[in-house]
Amino acid sequence: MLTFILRRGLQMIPVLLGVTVATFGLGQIIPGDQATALLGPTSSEEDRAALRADLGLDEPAVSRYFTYLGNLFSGDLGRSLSFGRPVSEVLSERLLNTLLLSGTAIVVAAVLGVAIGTWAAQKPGSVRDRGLTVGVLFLNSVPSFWLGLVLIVVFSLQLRILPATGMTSIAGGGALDTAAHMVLPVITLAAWSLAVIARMTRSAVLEVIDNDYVQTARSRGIGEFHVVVRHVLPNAMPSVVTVIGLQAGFLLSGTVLTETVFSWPGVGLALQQAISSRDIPLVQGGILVIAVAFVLINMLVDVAQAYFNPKIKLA
Amino acid sequence: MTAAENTAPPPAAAVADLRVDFPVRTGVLRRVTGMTHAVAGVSFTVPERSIVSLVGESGSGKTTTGRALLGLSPVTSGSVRLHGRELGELRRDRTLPRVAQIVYQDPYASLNPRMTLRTMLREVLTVHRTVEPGAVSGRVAELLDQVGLRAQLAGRYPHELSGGQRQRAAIARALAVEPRFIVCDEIVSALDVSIQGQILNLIQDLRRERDVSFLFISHDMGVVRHISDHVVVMYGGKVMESAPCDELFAAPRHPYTRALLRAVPVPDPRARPDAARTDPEGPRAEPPDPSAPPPGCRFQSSCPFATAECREGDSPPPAAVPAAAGHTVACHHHDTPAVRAALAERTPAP
Amino acid sequence: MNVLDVAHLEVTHPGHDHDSSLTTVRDVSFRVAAGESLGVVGESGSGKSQTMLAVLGMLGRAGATVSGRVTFDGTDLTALTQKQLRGIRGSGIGLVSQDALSALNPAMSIGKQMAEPLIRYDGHNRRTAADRCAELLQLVGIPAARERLRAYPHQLSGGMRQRVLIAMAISREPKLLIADEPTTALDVSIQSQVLRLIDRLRRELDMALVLITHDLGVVAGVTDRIAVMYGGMIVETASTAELFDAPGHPYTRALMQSVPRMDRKPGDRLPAIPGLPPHPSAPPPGCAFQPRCTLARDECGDSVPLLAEPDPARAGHLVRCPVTAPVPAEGART
Repeated sequence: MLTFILRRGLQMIPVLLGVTVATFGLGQIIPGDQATALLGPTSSEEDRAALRADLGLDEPAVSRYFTYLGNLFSGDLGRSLSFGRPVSEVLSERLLNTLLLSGTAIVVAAVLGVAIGTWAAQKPGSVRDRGLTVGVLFLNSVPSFWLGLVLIVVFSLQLRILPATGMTSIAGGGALDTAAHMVLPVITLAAWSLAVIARMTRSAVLEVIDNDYVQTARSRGIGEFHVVVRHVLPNAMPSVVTVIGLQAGFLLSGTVLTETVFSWPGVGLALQQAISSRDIPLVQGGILVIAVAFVLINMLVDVAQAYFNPKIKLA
Repeated sequence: MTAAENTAPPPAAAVADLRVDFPVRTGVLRRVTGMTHAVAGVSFTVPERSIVSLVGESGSGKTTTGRALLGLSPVTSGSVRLHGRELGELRRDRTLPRVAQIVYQDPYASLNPRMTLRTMLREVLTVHRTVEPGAVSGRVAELLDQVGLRAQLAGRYPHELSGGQRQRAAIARALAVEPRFIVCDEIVSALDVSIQGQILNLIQDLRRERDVSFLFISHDMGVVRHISDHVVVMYGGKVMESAPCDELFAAPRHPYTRALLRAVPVPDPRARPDAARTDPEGPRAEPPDPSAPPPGCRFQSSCPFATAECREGDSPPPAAVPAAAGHTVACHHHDTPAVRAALAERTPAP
Repeated sequence: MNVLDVAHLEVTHPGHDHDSSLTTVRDVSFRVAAGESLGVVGESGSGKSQTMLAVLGMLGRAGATVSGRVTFDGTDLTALTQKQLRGIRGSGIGLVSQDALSALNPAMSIGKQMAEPLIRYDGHNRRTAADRCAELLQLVGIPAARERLRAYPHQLSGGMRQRVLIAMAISREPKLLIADEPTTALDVSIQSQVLRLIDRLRRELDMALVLITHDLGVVAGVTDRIAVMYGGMIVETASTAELFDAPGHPYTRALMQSVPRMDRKPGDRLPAIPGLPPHPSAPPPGCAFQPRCTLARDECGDSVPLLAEPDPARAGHLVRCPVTAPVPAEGART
């Protein structure tokens, strides 16, 4: 298992390097001039040229990439133009908020999705099974920002039972207050993934549920609930875990929209603000963080796969 | 194929000292740390118009050997000649498919589920240009007839056929290019007993009427007894014994062959497992690890007659059995009187 | 006393269309006495495995309808709820299925799988269960049993896996062991060992055995009686010696002749049975074997023949064929 994790870790290196090339390249092709963005449209050409030299923007792209890479290794993601603070500082305080939101969302989506999918697969073609199909179709055809707005209208503006935006009340408050603020964004974020995971679980369970070893367990008098939990689910998990991992990645990028709708102070909101203010170092940093998280999630998925597959686990 | 001069025609297949190694990869970097010797120096010939069987249990290398004959396993060393021409040469000038074909155990997995029989056969005929474009339809009908499939079945997809019909279809596809040699890899193992007989008869008809030679890979000794002219027994990647069929079943000379034959359940209640069949019921030693075989004979750990000689040096070379043409056995003790007596006594009489 | 008494068992599956249905088991009746071993011989689609799944009450998930009576050890199983049936499965009737690789959970160690019902239903704790499992593995001839408990199925050879499966089936000391093609997936040399293992365990543990197979060679050595199934029906049943000596049904005879045998000098051609076995969606009229039978007469297509005892001198030898075994004037049995 350790060998497997090590090997998988080594494979991440080229991927991560590719990510840095992509984020760097992104900074190069985003339209707009950083110097103009900083100094304003009325600044003189000389001032802008001086600033470009100062920021190293006039050097060739390759040498700038290696400078960029070198800085990354020392934890320097550059300076945010709009915040006037290091990007690493701006992002690190927001990363936790984003992880809280998307982490909760993926856990909710995974737990409910697997439970509902398994439950529906018990009786294929039954009312509950068809209900699942309709529910999945509905949730997957609703755009998340629209769902977010509808939730705000219903629960905050009409029923006035849940806060609409932000992470804490102005008066401040404890964990319960934060939890109340999380309800709507988590539902918004989780809805799509929950549907996808439930559908995948259903088909994965259906594929396993009549396997010989499941029949063996039944033939030995083991109750259906234990048969499902001990013999069906562990073997259905590999394909479900893959989907959960993919969804975790989507959730992370989905935070840009959801955090904007709910004014949640996370990486997504910062990224959205950075894009509209041409704060290129912050855009690069934000994308890098999300991309690295994506790669890490994929690695976790593979490790989880290995956990459910003794052939890899013991190799 | 060039016409033979004054010499006898070359055999359908001649395999000499064939070796097939697969790399073993381990560790973080997946480096090759060893070799699995799946086939470790195998020689035999399949004379023209004959059926030679390759028998042995899983892991014996029989399937890898069969596949190597068609270039489907990586040949590490040794030579394979089909109808007198080197395998490498046949592959280079792309005539291999027209010389030799293979039919697998599971026809369902080897037939394209999205093609009807007709489409499948037409494709083979067109690609290999075995007949004039105008004659394709006629040839399809002929092929189906040859393997005993009704013409109405031509429009069916594989899933619409029974297991036996699918195996016939797979044979028809192999025959489409008019090969003179077919490797049959456990082709009746997955079939029902009442269908098995039909396919075995078909193989014999093809040999007789169309001069096709066969390498018949099987683990079913009853089937092998029925269909073969000659039998090659493999164990742990090596040939243990090779003999004409009647001879092998009547007078096996290798302890492994004897063990194999004695293990076959005979449909006769009087042959109940009793004093006459006293093999230990417990698990026999597993075949040797093919990546690190022990010195000496591959069968030593399960052999009741093994001596110190069997546990050292190279594995025993095949030796000709005196006064029995075409019978070779790779055992140090095949001529030891005590062993011979034991073998003779315990072999069920045919 | 009979451990298992199956009477007029019938299994029907809903077809793909609403109006079609597949009857896979038709009017099957048989008995297994305590300690007796019965061989059930048939090809795929003959209904042999379906019969046994119906006995275990395991066809409900597939939506099949089962009618008839299944009495196990004095209890009518068809009257039990799923929950009550679970009490019989494993502890009353053990099942060994064909392919041990797919019949063992690949994601669970051998020891955990074996111990599961022992801990859950038989009052074992983890330690005593592990002891019992090691003892069982030893009983089925697996060396170094303790260490093997930690192994996963893929780490064992085919023969070992089949032994594990047998150990699991007998772990709760059932009165009846059903073995469904237990040797088909194994190498020949392993086959006979596993067969003899099952035979020994049956004697030692005083179990009744139902051995399902397509291979006449397999049942010849280890069964007392044989039932031959074809097209969902029992076409012949007799003591093992009697069946091999004087097979009565044309199908049984054809089967014996068409299987190539190692101990027989080959003739040129096998007397293969022409045609295909019937499909349960379209059974032929009358006798199921009639379209492939060389002895068939016109009346064979009229009605399904009775399972009759043609010769009173050979009690217990029943044949479902009016041609080779005409129903005697009296004493007809079904």
